[in-house]
Amino acid sequence: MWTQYFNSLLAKLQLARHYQMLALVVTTAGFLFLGLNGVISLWYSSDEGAEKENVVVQPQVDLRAYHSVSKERLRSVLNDEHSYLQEGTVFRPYVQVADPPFKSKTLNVTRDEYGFEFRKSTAPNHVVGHKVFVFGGSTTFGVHAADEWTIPSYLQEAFNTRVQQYPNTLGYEVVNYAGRGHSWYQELVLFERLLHAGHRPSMAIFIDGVAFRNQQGAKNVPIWSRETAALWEKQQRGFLTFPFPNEIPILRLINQIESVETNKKMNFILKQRYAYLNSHPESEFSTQALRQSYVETMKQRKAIAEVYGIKTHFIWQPHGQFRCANNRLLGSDQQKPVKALYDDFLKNRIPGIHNLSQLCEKNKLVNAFADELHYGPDLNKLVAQTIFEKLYERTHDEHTL
Amino acid sequence: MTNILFKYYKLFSLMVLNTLMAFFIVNGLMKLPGHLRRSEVQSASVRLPALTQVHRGQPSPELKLNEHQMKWVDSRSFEGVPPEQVSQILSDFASFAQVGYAFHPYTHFSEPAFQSQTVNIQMDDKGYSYRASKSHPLSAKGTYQVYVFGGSTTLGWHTADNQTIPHYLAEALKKSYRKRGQTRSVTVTNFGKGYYSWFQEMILFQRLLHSGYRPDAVVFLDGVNVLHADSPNETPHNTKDLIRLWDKAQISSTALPNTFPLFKTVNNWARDSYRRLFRDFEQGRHPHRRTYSLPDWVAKTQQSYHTTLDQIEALTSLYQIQPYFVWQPNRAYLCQSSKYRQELPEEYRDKVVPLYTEMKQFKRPHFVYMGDLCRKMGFKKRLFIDDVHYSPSFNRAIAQELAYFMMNPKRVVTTSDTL
Repeated sequence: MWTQYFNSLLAKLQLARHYQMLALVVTTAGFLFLGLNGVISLWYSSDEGAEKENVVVQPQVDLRAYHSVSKERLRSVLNDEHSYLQEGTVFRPYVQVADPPFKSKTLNVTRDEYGFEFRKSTAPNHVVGHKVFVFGGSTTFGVHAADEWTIPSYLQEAFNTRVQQYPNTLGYEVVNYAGRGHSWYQELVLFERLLHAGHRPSMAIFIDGVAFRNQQGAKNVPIWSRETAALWEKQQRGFLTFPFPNEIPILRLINQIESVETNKKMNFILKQRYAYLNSHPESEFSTQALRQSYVETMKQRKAIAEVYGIKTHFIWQPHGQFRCANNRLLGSDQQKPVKALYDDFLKNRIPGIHNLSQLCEKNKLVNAFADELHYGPDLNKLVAQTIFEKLYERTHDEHTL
Repeated sequence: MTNILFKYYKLFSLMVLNTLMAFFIVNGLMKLPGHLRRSEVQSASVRLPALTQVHRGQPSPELKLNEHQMKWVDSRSFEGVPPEQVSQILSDFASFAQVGYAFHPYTHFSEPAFQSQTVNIQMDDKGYSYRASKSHPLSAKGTYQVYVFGGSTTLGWHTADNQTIPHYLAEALKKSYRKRGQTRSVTVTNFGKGYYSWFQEMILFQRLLHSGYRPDAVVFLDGVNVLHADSPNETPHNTKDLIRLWDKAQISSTALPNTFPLFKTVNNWARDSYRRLFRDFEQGRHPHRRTYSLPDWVAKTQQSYHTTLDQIEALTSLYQIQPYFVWQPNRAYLCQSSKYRQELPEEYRDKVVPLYTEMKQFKRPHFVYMGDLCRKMGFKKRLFIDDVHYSPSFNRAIAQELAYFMMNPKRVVTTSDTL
């Protein structure tokens, strides 16, 4: 009886028909959804194609800078560097950005006894009595160079040769504490951290000039600070979420809409809370402000070093965009401040710095740069030799510096 | 032909709808246990406040303070402060705590600009923040400029703008100059920052110098934040989080919308593999944190303090600035900590007491030990508002001792000395 009643009710309500209708609507909507996805993916693919066409070809390494190196060796160096790039960077207290440890045939970054990373250099061939710490940016770290082609390595080679000439003297061990992207102020902070941890080198060499843009000019804000501040705020406000899979075009669209919204919010927050991120390029990148920033930093480094009896040397390094025959040129907007700053440093000499900005010109170097900024092995060697000569320039004692 | 196609399309659409219905039913069933449990938890939390008892000295629950305040604040310590002002201060700090911290270059974090009746953080155009009810120039000719660095005790957590150590220090210095018949304009700037270590304070100080600021004197108050700052390693509070954030930002990962429990299950499964990937990525990327046995920890922490002071003095002598270093009082050391509402964590006391005992012997120019100031002041008063922060009257006493030390650096400070 109940079954009969139920069947008649179903018939009366025409549920089966309505269910069938709903099924048709849903399926048709599903097909429309798929069609829409197809259209969006077509749009993305055309967009990507256009992007690909507009992309500036990745700055390739200028192989002419490696004329004395075998092809296999060079391939190995560049492959190792490529693998190292995949490792990204690490966050470190105070210094903020550092290079992660890495092991390979030609590029090795390891840690000292206090946990600070440094790049492997040529080993000393003598009993070590003194340590020389070298600080700098990516040029000193040795981007596009094997461990034994970096400035600190060539400096070590020079010390090794010297000790062979005077065998009774204590030798020097050069340690490469340069970091990719490091600004002159970051180098100071790293130096202070090393001293605080217990290191006591005899000498500290600071090689600067090329990375002056990495600290927001004279404002002295390290590279990636904006990104770190954004991450910090996103975490604090719960904006840090996983995006939807980009493989489904409509979800990708949602991701993009969401990221536009989040970026809008973040820009507002950063503007409100982060006065130091507000940019005033005219004052921050003025030659006078940059010069003052460098001089203040130099004074602070010197004062800190003197507490521990450490000798300091300040090197103003050659720049690929200043009086150097470099085939790879930066845009004119980027060349201009380099020229202004380097001209100023030549015109108004700062006591206590070794200015090597005319090194290319004096030595009539060609094909010395691996890219717009980074040195080839020969230039690294020349810079190291020049620094080495400068170290002994002021002393009459051939045994000590 | 069309009819046959339509027939198949109808059949297909029925299958699609049936699958969808099954998907929703499974999702609904998966959501049910969570929903039941949530309503259970909610009803328990509704009951909870009624069961909670307000202890003596605990702020009124009506003030809507945060968990930390309700746990630690002892209102009885606000001796001489009208109850309405106490409520205002605590409410302002509850709001202040909600704005969080802003990321800062080199020093990692700092309090953002904030305005309220009793708590105000000013910020200059370069992004340096300091506590004051009104902004003032950080450099002014003819004014004796003092910068005070320290942690949240110096910032004056749970006290009003005009009840902090730097505020009372300005008053005491002015009074002292007047007593000597000198009329000198004095400005004391409060650069105290929550959780700061002595090394962070040094970096902040040298950044200010790099920016062109030139105070006449600088004061560093330290001692309370040794564990937050992971002394002697001196890695700022939150460093671990920043390291993870930075690493995570370099690994891309996606998730399906969590709205559907089935997707959530898929996400959880994917998250597990993401965690494994992250663990592998982090492998060997960061040095291990150094740990020490207690005697070594005390010696190393003292050494860290000493080295930092050496570096600060190198900077102060370069710019001809007078430095003062204060080892501040700590509730864990000779301050009758047990008379407050909550006892301090054992692991904090176990480390701080031997350090403070050893620091008594610490000698160097411009350094003053105030670790035993509670005892000097007598034990009648309640000197702490919460686990670490000083009451307004204790802030005043510390500032007076400090001012006396600054005006008479060669004399040993005693309790009978007053300004």
